[in-house]
Amino acid sequence: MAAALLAAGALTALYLRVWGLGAIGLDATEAATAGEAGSLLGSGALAQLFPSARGEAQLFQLVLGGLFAVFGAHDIVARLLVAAIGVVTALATYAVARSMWGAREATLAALLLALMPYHVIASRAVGPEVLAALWVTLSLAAVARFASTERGPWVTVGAVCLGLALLTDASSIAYVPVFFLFVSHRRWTSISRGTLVGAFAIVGSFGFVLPLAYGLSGQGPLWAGSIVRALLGSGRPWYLQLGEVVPAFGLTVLLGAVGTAVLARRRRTWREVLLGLWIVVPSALLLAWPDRTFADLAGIAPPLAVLAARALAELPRLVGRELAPTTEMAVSAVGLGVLAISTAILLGMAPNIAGSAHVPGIIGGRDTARWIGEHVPPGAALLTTDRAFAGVLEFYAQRETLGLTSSAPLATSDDRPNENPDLLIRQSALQYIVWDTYSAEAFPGEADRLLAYAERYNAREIYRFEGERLTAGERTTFPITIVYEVRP
Amino acid sequence: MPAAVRLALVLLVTTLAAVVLLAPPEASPADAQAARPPRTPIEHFIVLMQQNHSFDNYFGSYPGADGVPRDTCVPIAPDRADSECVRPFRLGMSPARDLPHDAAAFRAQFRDGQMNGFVAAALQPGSTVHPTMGHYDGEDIPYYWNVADNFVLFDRFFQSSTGGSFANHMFWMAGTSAGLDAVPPRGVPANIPTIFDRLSQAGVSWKVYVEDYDPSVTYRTLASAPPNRRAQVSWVPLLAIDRFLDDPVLNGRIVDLSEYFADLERGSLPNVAYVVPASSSEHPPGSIAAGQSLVRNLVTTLMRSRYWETAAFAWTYDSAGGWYDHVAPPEVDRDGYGFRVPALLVSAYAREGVVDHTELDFTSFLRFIEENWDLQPLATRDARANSIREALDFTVPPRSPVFLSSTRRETVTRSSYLPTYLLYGGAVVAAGVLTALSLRRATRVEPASA
Repeated sequence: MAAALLAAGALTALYLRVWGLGAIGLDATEAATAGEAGSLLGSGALAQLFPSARGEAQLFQLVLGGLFAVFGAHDIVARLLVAAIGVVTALATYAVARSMWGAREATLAALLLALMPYHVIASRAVGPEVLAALWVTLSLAAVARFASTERGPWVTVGAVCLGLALLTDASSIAYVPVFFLFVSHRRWTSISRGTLVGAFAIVGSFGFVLPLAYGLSGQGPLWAGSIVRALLGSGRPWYLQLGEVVPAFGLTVLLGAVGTAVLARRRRTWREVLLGLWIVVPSALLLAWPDRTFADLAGIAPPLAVLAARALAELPRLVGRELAPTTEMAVSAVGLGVLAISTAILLGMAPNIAGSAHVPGIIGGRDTARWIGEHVPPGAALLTTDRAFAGVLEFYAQRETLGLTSSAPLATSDDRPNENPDLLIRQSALQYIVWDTYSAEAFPGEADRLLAYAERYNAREIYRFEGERLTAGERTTFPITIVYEVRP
Repeated sequence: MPAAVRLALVLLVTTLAAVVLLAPPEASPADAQAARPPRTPIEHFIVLMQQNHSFDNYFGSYPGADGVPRDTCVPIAPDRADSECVRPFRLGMSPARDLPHDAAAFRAQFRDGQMNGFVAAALQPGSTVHPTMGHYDGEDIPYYWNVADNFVLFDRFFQSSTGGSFANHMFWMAGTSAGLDAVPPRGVPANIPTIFDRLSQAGVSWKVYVEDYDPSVTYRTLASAPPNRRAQVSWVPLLAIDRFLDDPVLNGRIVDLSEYFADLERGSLPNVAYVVPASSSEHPPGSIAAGQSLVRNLVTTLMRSRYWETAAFAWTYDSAGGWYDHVAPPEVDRDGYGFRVPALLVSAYAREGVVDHTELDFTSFLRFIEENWDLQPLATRDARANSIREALDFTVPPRSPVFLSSTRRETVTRSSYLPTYLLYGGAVVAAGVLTALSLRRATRVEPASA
């Protein structure tokens, strides 16, 4: 029964993660990651257009680049990889819960993660965070196994997984303190000094690979710059991060986690402590980390699911009275159903809220870029408002694109001065202008400059991608992207 | 017959005879026949003449071309057996000097085919710098190298004359220098036909586009023209030929370069266009970047126009400019050849990424024009010259335009990422081994019930 439920959970997880996966093209962040992956493995035009490194950990990019080399640099390849990782994470969540409690909790935990809106959305977006979250979850499973068996080799396995997480996403360093805090705490575990030192050496060695690889490739300053950016940069505000991520965990998971926390006040074991630490410490560190992304907290989703699963399994204790098995099952089914509906609503709404943090992809970007790829001569150069949107065009159109927010080409932005778009147009070195509504909203000044170039240089509209919206009860169309040809 | 009438008749006959004898038969557009269709799909041929760079100076290190031999070292004093020698070196962004490049300099460099006088010919007393051996590469002239990668680079293209600019521009337009190496004070003799005369006679449209064109500067006003404007006549010998100055139709076809872009835009590009740069000619110490930018603009604008599929665009350099070139030029007549110069061809029909080894000179462009529009040769040289025709392949459909970058994109080699591959790969393998060993140990010691 448990195996069948687990299989059903895995299938559900897969379905939710691949449903309509190719409907919207990559957004700017995804395109940058996918472009880097293609460039790193020398994948055709991507190698010319995207930097092979951006100062970040590159294990995910290497895996993706390898897939690109085999299947071609298609967005769906990247998305399917992340979706598959999401499904495997659900199975890893099963392993975590199984190490702590029984098959029932484990199955429920896997199902909760499979249906959790936050994790579904995170594992539909191309980025390293979900793979890092898988490694972190496997590390958690190993620590749980160590705590339950007190066998040192599990700490080694946990350290290896944590090391791989660091090679995937440097922000996984937020899990390192809680790992060592827990395994070295004598109240909960007993570990030999040798094992502890060994684990520390493993994590340290893996962590050292990142700067070493950059240093030996002659790109040390790039890595140093990324550290400075990560520490001093400005990402999404922490309150926005909390405001968007916490609701996306889903009502069932949140209530369940709170329920288990309430139960733990009465009787606390290493299990609740480990899960609690694994959620609270990294969350605090990652919220303090200035360079935040929506998927940063993917690593705390599995322990939250395990806590919630425990609450569902311990429902009688939680409500303080015996419940009929059918009632317990019904409550679990309702809880899972609420999650599933939340996720389905989010995914169903996707076309209307694209561009927000919730839904990966950007409407119109891929269509426009593909049109450009088919109709604009190879070697043509494009100018757009924002460098981020330029990345989307470069990934799909495979044409060099400058962004007014940083007019240097993406592939060379770190070592080339900004170009003068006006001069480039006059020299026929820049032949097309691409306006888009997303960048225009974010950077109205640059968008106005872009249109001023279009007006000055005899722009001729050659393509338009339109969206529809309801205005005063009427369905109206509006431009999402416009491609102009300009001539000096 | 009264004496006055007889005198008038004599004058009339003499004048008519002079007109018949001196004027080229096809000089007047009034004689133009109906436009003659081209023999190939090339309905528009544009040719540009830049200035003063040798083949080795620009493409001596280009893969697949007849470039500078590895062991090249040119003696400072070629007459002395123990002379020190100078090896080729990359100029990069170093400022370039205007080196001696007239007929006398050619003889000193050529040294009867020994090709070892380049350093000595440009030697300046007290100077230890030997710029003549300097050269550029793909990082310095990326657009030109990108063009070579995608279209045709000629590596046996010689300047027609060992002389200076005027003689070579004469060969370019008339197939002969007429023995002239500078603008003659009385102008070029009227009986020297040019390719434009032939084109006019055949009803084939033409124009000469001149950068920074000043119509007031001709051979007649040379003495009073500003010094920095006088070279315009050397570069456009038509401005030293009376009929091209006096006939408003002919004169009207010599226009400013801005008209090239206007003609492409409004659909009035002539069948044959000569382009003469001024400030963007790359003549040292002028900026090669400016020249490259001009060429890119001309080519890209052509590619974006309605003419791409029916046009060919070629450019070359009027002189090697005193820069070293290792190939001894063949002696075809008393004028030349001079040293090799770079030459490239861009067209929808141009062979892709080909280094063409055909022996060519400036009159090869004339030969192509003459073949394409069925015109009579102008002189012995163009009648015997090889055409650039073989660089075009009309058996395949026209290629789509490709806008080439002004940066050199070297092929990305995976070896540069070797540390990344090795370290990450090693880490993953180590992770696998460590995990496998740890799991074995953990499973072995773990009670079965756990």
